[in-house]
Amino acid sequence: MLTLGTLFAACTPGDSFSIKQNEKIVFLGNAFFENAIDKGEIETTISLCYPKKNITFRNIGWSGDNVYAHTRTRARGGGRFGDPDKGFGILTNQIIDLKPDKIFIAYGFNESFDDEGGIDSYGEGLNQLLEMLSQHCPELILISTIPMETGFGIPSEHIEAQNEKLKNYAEMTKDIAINRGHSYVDLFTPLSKESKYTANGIHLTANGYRKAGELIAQALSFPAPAIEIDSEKAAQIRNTIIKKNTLFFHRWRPRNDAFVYGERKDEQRIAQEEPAQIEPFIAKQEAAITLLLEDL
Amino acid sequence: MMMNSKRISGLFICISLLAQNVHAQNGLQDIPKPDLEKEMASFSVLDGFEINLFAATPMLAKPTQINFDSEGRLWVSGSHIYPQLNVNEEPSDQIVILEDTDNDGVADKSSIFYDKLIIPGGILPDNQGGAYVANGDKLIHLSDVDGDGKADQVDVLLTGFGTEDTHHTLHRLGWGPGGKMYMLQGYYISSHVETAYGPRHLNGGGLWTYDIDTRRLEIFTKGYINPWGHSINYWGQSFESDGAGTGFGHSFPNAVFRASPGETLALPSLTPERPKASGIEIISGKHFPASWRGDVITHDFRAHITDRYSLRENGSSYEATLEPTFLKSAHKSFRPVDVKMGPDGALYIADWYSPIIQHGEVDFRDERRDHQHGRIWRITAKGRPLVHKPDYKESSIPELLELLKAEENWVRLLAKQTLKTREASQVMSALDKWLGTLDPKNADYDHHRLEALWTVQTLNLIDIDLLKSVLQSKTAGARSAAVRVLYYWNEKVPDALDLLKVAVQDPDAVVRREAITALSQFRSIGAFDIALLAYNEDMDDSYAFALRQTCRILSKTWLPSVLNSNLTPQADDSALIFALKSTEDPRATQPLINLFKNSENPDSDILLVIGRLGNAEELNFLADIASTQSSPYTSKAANGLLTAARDRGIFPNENQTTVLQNLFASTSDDDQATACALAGHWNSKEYTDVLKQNLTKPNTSYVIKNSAAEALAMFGTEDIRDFLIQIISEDHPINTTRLAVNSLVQVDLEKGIEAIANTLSKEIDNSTIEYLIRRIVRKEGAFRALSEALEGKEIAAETASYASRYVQVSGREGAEELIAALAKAGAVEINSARPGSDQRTMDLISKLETGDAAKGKEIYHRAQLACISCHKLKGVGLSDIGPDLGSIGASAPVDYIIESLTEPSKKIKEGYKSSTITTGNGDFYNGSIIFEDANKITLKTSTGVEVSIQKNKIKSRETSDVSMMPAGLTDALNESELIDLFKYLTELGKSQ
Repeated sequence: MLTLGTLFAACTPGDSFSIKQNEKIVFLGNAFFENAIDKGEIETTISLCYPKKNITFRNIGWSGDNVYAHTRTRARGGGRFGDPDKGFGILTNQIIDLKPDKIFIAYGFNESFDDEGGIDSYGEGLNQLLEMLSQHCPELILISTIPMETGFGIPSEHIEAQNEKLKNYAEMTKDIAINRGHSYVDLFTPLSKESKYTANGIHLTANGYRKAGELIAQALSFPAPAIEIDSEKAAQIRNTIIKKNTLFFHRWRPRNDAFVYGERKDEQRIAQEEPAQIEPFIAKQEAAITLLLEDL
Repeated sequence: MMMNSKRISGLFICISLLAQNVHAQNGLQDIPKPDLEKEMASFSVLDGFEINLFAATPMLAKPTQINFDSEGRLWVSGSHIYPQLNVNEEPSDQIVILEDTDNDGVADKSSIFYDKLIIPGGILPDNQGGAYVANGDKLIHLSDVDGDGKADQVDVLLTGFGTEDTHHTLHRLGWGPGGKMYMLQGYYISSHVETAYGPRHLNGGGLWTYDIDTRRLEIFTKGYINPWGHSINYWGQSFESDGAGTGFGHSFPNAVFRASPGETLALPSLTPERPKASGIEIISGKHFPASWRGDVITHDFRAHITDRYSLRENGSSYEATLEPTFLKSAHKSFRPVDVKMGPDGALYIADWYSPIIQHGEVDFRDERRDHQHGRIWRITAKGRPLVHKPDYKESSIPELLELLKAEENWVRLLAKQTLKTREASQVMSALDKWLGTLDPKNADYDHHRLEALWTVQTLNLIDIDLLKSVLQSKTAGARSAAVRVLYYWNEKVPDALDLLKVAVQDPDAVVRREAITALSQFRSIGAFDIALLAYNEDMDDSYAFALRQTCRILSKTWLPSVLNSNLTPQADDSALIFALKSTEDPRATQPLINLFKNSENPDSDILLVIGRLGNAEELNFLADIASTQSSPYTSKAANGLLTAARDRGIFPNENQTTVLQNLFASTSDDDQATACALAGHWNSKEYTDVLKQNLTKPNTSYVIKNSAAEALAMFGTEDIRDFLIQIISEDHPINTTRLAVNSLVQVDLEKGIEAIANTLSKEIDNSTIEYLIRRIVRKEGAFRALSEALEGKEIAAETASYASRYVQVSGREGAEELIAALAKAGAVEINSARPGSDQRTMDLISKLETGDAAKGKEIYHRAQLACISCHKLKGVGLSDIGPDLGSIGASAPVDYIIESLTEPSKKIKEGYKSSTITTGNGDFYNGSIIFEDANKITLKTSTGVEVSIQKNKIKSRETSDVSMMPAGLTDALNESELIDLFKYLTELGKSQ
């Protein structure tokens, strides 16, 4: 059984959360999601709560990203380094390709370091992002920023000041979610109660992600999970999810990306073909995950 | 067809029309066996030194970095996976620890510490049984919790480093003397790393610093394409080696080197004439001869050479002198990539061991890439004793402090790293005592005290009194290093700005440069005022660059004050002008105008800055000057106006006519040429007659004619068209006709092409032929039109042949058709029966043994072949349009060299890929991008001409598959000459 915390995880103006058969869920954001790739926790939680739905997950989190998708240009053709303003178009095309049924969105950490006025730019960018995503996806779920944790050699006055900002960004995210009728999950408040969820003050550990999964499940009123999240079977499912995520990462953002998608793509015939060859292996892992879940 | 047979041979046009899609690699197996003895025998080492094998496969595989720990064990990161992980392949690259337990200079123990990595680029032991590893997009820490010698815990420290190119991903980790970790990334990498202090974004190459204790990540320098080495000298100054064309250079915070995206200025390296370097180490310690202390060791990995440079302080930076070759190998798989001084005082060289070193230019799956082997070589000085290995772990704190006096850089570094593991309060109190025992008369007194300061920094503590006292050292090196510490402690030091105010006025230029850079850490106008004190008229490159960067970084604080006239600078105007120019901020133009107005002897470069950045109203200031008769600044002001018009399409809204009147009345050809250009850009129709006269009037200088012709084309009216047609039909000097044709092509393509066809049938020289063809290479559909225009025309055979070469090089649509039309009009035979390319390459390789390199050298230098007009040899030559070929033979496989010449577009060197830009009016440019900003792109074309194109006029841009090297250059050679030439090229760089 999923232990539902006593902590309150706020949500959700929209219709109650439900998942239909064969849905595709996309995780979009900064390193909050990119770092989740090799933890697999949130995805495992959703899978265990909806084991028979044959959900496909795609994690397209990108470290350092903001609501304008500025990091997503890589070393791409045209200019040797893509114009950051083209990141949004690249993301748009990717969303159109993926055709998601739900997108979990986590931004705000990087923006919180901007000067005064940054928060307005965040709000504007988030609205623009949600506008675009709404055109290609029926359901969006916004995740709050998470608080910085003390320790790790980071000056405490810096953490306090930054947490004020992160809280403001969480508030802004919540307001925009409510205004636009999207679900909102507040991780900031419950994760502020204890300082034990991050690996470096800013990014969650595997346990931190498990807690985040629990809070998301609670906020969105998921059904109880089919098996315990810390069971051996769940670990097996999680490991398969991580393997699948890793393969998708190599498919999507391969080493030598510049030769596969970017500036130097004309130089390598074999390398260009290889990322596409990963796809059957992703499918194989997904079939294995489905099988493991169906057996529950 | 009537041909004189003697002439035919020179006129034959061999054209590869076979679109065979055969892969470039054709099973050549001129690969040496990985025989250790053979490689050993291939070395020649400088007299007085000897080389021995320290370790080889299977003890390690393909080393990417080597680093010793405090126990004297050598940690090796290696990659058999490089260059690319296979589909669905599990990570399996290793960290290996090598040990020489019996101290005989040969490793006798190898253990695998970790083996789940993908192309790790760097390894740095933590001296507590674990290590930091650069693993692609992540910096990780491996620890051995249960003490079995294998990593059992992986902590991810940083994520988000770019993955775009595996020979550029995060690499080469090292400790600095103040305890920070340094790490590198290369070009093509976009890193977006989230830290507790905000995201850090770095596009392109750069050197990072990371503070393990506070988790602060910062960019130290930006730039370089393949920065594959970083080392720090006795006084804490950094040096980076670059594997892509700049040798090695001197680095300091905020420095920018070439090819950093978005940067408009870069510092030169110290060795621009030595193109490739991987790995760098500074010689220290008693084992090597004393005269070598402080020298730089770096590898020319392409030429299988390890070089030594001596360094001399030069102004605020250094000067490097190449010393006699230290080590060279005749073995084509010897690839020295890293170099470290070892615990015994010997020099250790990591040998990647592969005949192939190109990352992108040779296929990732090429079978000739070696995935197994790797060697560590050790060089010792004959007859000189090795140095003692301290037992850091067993040493007491006072004993470790005594090690700070060691001559060996690594001993002092490891002593500080070990002190970091001890109780900090005990270290600090022992340090106090130790400082008291130091003898001020000792020659190294200042350095010992600097080591104490670095120890405090390594412990992440602050000792302001010690800092102040080291800032007052007699030795400039200690003062400059102390200023660097102040750069890091910045606002934690209460009177930091007072200290820096003294330091910017230090007699030593290095100290002043460090102080300028340290000021960039203080976000206050006070810091800016102090930085301006460092300004003077004779600043060297590094010094001026540091000041420019500080002015830019601080501009958020001081520029608004200048704009609100709140700033009362405590420096003379020239310093403030320097600061304003540094910003490259359009808001700085109005204050610059005011400064220019108020100065008796103004800096005329301000006028060019206004041209680059100013708005229409600000350009009126330039127009005002340019319309003033006998102003000494007329020319500069006019150039500023032209820059604004050409690059940004911005014009002054007053005084246009008086500017033109004044400039046309000038006696200077350049002013008149500028006037013509401005008349065109400003669309000043009343000047069309003047422009017409300037084009046709006898004895007008070429710059004026050229400018007049271009301006006429900008009007593009029917009247202009008819005028140009008339000029072409009349009997003018060929230069005038050429310019008129060029303009006509812009105004009316069809008529222009007709004019080209007519001109080709006249008796014209080669440069005119080339000129005419190049006019239409830029135009869509023009080749086909010229083919039709040539129908029924007769042209000279030489003209047909010469024109065809340029048509072919273009690779443009319709080229084949045009070549056929030229051949027909010129009655030249076309031989398209060139053998299949792979077969031909194989043939040539099989005959290479018979080649004569000396003859080949003569052929290489023939003017007709034009090799020397684009390529340099080891920095010597006329032009750098193409890559330096100084060590091509040592670096590239034979088939690569041959195909580069016979089919240039098949092999395009990294950085020499050309871009194709089409503008709104159909102009077409091909060349490599050498500069790009928000407004314009500058291309260097294959003729070496630089062309600037306004971005808002660009319709499309793409990276071209066509090499800038003309195809068919070697077609005039017979086979034996060709083989001689290849023989010569394949020998280049193999011996010195």
